[in-house]
Amino acid sequence: MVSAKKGAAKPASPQKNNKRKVASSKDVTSKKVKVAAGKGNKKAAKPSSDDSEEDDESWAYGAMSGSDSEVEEQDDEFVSAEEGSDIEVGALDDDFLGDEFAGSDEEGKTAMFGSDDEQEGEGEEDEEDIFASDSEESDDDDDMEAKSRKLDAAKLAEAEEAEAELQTNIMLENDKYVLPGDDHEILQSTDLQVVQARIQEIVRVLNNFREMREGNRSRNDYISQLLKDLCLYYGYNDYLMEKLFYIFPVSEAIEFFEANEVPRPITIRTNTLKTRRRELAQSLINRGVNLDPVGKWSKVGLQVFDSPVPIGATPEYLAGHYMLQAASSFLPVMALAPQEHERVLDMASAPGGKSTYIAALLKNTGMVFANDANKDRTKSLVANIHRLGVKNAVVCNYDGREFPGVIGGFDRVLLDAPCSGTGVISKDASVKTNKSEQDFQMLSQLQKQLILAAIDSVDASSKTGGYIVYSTCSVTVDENEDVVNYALKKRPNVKLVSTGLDFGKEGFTRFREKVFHPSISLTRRYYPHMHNMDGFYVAKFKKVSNKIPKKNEDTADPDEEEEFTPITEDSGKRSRGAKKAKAAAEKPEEAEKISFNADEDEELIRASQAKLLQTQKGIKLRPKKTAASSKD
Amino acid sequence: MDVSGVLEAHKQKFKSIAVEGKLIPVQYDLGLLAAFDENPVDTAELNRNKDEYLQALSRDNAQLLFNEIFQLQTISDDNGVMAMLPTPTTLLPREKPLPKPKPETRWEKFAKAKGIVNRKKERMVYDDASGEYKPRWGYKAINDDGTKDWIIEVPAGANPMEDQYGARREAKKERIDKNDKRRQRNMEEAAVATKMDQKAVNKGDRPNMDNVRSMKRREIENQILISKSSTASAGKFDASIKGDLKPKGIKRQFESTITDMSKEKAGNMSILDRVVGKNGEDLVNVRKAIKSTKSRH
Amino acid sequence: MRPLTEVETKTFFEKLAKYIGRNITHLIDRGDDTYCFRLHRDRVYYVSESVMRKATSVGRDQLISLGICFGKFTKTGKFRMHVTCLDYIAQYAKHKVWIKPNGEMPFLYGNHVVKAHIGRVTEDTPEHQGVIVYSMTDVPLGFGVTARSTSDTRKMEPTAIVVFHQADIGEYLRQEDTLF
Repeated sequence: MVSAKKGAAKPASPQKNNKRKVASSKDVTSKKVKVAAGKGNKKAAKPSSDDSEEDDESWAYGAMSGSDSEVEEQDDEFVSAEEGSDIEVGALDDDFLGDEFAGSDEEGKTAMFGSDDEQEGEGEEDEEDIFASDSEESDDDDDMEAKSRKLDAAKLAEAEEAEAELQTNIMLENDKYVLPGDDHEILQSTDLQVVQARIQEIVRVLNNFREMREGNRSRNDYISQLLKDLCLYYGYNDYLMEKLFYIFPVSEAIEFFEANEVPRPITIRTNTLKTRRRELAQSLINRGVNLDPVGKWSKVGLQVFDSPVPIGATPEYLAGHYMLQAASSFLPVMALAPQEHERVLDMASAPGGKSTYIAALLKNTGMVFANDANKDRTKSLVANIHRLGVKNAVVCNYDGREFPGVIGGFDRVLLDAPCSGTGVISKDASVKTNKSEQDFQMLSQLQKQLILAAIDSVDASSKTGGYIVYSTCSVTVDENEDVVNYALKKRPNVKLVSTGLDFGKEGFTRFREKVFHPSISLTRRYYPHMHNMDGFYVAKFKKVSNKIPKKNEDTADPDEEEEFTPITEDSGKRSRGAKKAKAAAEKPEEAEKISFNADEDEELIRASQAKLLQTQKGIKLRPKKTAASSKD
Repeated sequence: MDVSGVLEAHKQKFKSIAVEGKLIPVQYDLGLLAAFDENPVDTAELNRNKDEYLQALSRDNAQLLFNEIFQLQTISDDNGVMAMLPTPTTLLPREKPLPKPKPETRWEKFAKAKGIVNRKKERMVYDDASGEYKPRWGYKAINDDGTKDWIIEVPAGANPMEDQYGARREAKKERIDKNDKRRQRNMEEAAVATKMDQKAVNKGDRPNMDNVRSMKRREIENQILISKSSTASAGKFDASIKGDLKPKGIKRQFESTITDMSKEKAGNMSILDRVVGKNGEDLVNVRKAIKSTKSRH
Repeated sequence: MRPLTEVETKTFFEKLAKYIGRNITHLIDRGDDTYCFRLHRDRVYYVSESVMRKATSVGRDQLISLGICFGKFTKTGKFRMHVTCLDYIAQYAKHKVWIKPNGEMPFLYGNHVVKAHIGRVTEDTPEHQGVIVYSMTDVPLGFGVTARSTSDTRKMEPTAIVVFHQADIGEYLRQEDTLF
């Protein structure tokens, strides 16, 4: 009978321990194991029944206790023999330890029980592996032979893995990579180099899946393994990893994650209200700053390679000749392209990089409303506005959603929406772990409300303007295309127009189970690994009229919200079909004549959609739709 | 030495002090240093050259006035020679407007309504006892409302031990107090009346009693508020009583945010002129100069 | 937000006149647009009329800033100029001081200007005159008050203070929390 007891212990002689060990290991079936963790207090350990599962548990405790906690066991038999005396035992287990060490090395065992870290570590690793493989199959643990066999198998597997690792370089293209099996615990324990190697292998397999797959393993097996490894290697939480992973093709995703580990180059924007880029560059070069124009796409950006002085505290900076600003945040303002004498609203403006850029483009004519919901952040906003010599700005502190209520009728509105920041992980790595599903839901809801407010704040009858630019520093689809799609749906009086930016990837028109409006391909995405700037998204709307066309009751079939809840593949297909039907049925007379099967007519539908897009009219919802066609 | 030539030359420079050609003699009121010339004006001459004619006319009349003044009796003292002016004979119009009629007291109004006319009583009356005149009232009055009677009959039914002299003194004091209250009331009513619409006063309306009361209340409230804030902490830490008066804050009146910009600009300019002008710099208004040269070209 | 009262305007102009004198007229009466001074939470803002009119739609608690802030009234009713108005007063300043590159950073850290750092000075600057401090590349760095007249400065030691620091553009970093 074995039980663990804690408290100040009298050191027991090794001999006694051994003896007890052996005895207990022989008496496995009738043993009672009590395990208690912690040091100070004497806790009554709970007696466990002698079934194998409990046994496993006690094992686990024993294995862990080897590293930090002390577990003492007290043999009932001994209690009866030497009453009241506590016997200290390190991490102990009955059968396995007895079996493993009793025969081999007594000193090793005592060392393991004791405080010798090195030995303990070794022992622990072995133990863990064995335990891991053991726990999978929950059959008779008491069978020592089976145990040792398992141990051997595990050792073999490890050796194989090590060999595979060595061979990575010389592996031929057609060599098949063997997935390491289902034993996740083994995978967790391996070090990062191994993980990296495995990631590379799996990527290689996925890139040429048909030829390189291993037997009957499905793609999902590989991907789930890859996701786990990526989480481990780059330190993302599972939810975010999955979200980001599916945005890219496999190898590109790895590039993306890799790019997130490297900081982006420092860029500055010349304040054209006070100086010119050439002059600024000259004066900064005189200070020993090494810089270059940021690219052909911007006439005001400068990229700083290195600087002997802090770039955010030079006299030129303080005099407002430039602004420290990420290259990506030039984009929404360039897309907005404000014209002189216009009234522009920046809905979420702190710390003012974009607002001051707008003012610079307006050349201090017209006016800029710089709003930010966070009062603390408005301080830096006001400071920057004054420093850069912006004279036509009004700074206010509203929730952006209040906006058309406060003041509307703007010529242009820039909405750089608050977002999860998945595009700027290189700047703020905390995003990797602290964003949960709720965060994303809340953010995208907020973004949807904000974009409607932004659209409503614009005056469509403005002579020069009537534009809205929506941007985020996030790469996820539900903060970008999904929001834009929602806006198009809720406000049929806007249409997407070209952002005017000649680079960047097109926005997704379909993503996994979601299908978006085809005009969303006019929006632009920017990635760290592709454009060497923060991950970014820019969409530009033109407001066509100030009236929000009302939808008919007929079309209000599926609830508005329902369209944006995640849908299964099946229902997705159906809604896709329905949408196609809608799109095709733009001309009512056509729709009335023809009842059609969406799947059959897919080619035709696509062609007609492309045609519509070419005419730049945007997709308007049909004013009235017959029940028949909507059901189709 | 013959100075007659010089004198002659000197004489030539001045006109004669004798003025002739006045058909109607000029009237004088030397007390007011005034002369009145009633001769008709030569209109033909006036029309021809107005300034010279008027100048000559005033010179002649002024000369006549001076001649008259020099005729007066003179005295000589430290300040020089003075002429004694006679009392003025001409009545001058009043400089200040006529005083407003005083609001009537209650008695005056009552007396007017009843036709009671004040009968003048002499201040001094003959005292038979001492055989001399004594004031009717006030200090050393002849018989101060019966308080100086040498004997007083005890009224019927009165306590014989009661001090009748004391009772009379008390009665007198009460009468004085009563009169004083009435006087005060009359003054208050008069104060309200002067604030009232002038039309009502002219009509002779008496002030409304309500007005008087509310005015009195306001005065008292003001005094309470002043006394409440007359502590070391300006009333900040004093215990407040329920239903107590609350001092009304000073309500500052600002101009509205959107104003007539040209007016605001002009106001700012005038303030600027005061501010900068004080320093005495920029005597030339450069802005104005530039503007004027611009407009000329 | 409201217009300044007469007393406030006077206090404000008196301070402003130390730097730009009569040139305040160019601020009040501009050729291009109608501009005005508005007081919001003790701070004086210089803003065009059209912007001000639009800003009236913003609530008092939500309005943070409009146009350019010239400074603020202290609790004792004095006016304190902020570095934010540098653009305007540099434009109309009468007296200027240029400092050498080695004097730039000390001034931007809030120190007074010593004689050794002076590059150039406007002739005939009197004592206690408001001056704008420029770098040698004609970038306005801040403003201050002369300790001595230009002629007296010639006799002074290199370490003597010539211009007392009033405000500098380093305050954008140093006093971001209190300035706005």
